[in-house]
Amino acid sequence: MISKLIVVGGGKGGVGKSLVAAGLIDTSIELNRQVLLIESDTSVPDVYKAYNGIVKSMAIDLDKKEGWITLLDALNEHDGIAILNTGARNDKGVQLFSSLLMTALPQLKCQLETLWVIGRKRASLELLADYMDAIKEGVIHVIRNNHYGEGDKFQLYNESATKKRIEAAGGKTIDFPDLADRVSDAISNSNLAISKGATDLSFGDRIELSRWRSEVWKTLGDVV
Amino acid sequence: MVRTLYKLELVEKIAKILDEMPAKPKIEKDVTATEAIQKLDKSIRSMQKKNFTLEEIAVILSKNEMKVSVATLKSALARSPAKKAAGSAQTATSGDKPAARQSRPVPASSDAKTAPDAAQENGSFAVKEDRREL
Repeated sequence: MISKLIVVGGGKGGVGKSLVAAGLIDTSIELNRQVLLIESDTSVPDVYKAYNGIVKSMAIDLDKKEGWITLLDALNEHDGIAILNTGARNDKGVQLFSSLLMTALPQLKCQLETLWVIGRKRASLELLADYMDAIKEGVIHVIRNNHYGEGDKFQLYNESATKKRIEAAGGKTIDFPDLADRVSDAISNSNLAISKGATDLSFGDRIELSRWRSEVWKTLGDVV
Repeated sequence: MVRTLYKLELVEKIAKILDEMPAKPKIEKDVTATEAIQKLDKSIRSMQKKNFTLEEIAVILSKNEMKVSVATLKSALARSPAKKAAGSAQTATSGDKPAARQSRPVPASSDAKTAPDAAQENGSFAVKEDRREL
């Protein structure tokens, strides 16, 4: 039976959703979870490309109602956790069809958690507010991608009413560790799963990846 | 390096407690902590599916005279032959669906890294392969 659906969102291109999703999958594997990856980024399905063949993976267009129905079938049939990687433009589909998911979740006895990845720009928070209006169930955690600075640099978010709303609803503000550019570039340019990077990269890159990976396990272990 | 050894009877007792499986056949020699954890791999994963964390499982093991750290649990499970077998099971494709579900076209999924066909009617989409040259 599906126990949890974790949505990795952010609504904005370039905030680091794919790396957070990869980190989440890697952490789940480390903790022996049975993972179903749903890739819904039709423009840049890079998480699917990295993890197809490593975990059970599906590519579903959530701009279409049929896609949501297929998603529900997949959740109903999976034993473990599901990780849904969204694209920068998935907000329209969420607003139109997410009611199907909201109806299904209690019947699936499935928890919903969202990791909303932010940079330091205003758009991240605008889109988060839209998401919170559309998705009333589950818990939303905000992921401050430390690639854009330490947590205290996210001033707009840190001082926002949205942060208070998130935390009042039981969500957390989580700092996602930064990975050296050359290593994240090597991972993403070759569509490598993190575990593959841990064996295939150069020695120095592997050392940095290993350091970052341990941090990610600590950071996301509680979510999984 | 000093190794901690455990009686096999203790390993069998813990296996029963974790998932009520029948007793395992007795093995003549004692096992190390890592070997003991790897023998319990399936039971431990079953506990995780029941929402127990590794920290909680380590506490349960300690209460049953097998004192292991969470780090040892993680390390042993990561190297477990059973995990490697489970990892290949994780690459299951939509072909794993029960026969009764096959009335719909199968969504685009998993054959490793090949260019799938055009988007299916059920809302799945084709994942294009990367260009060879940019």
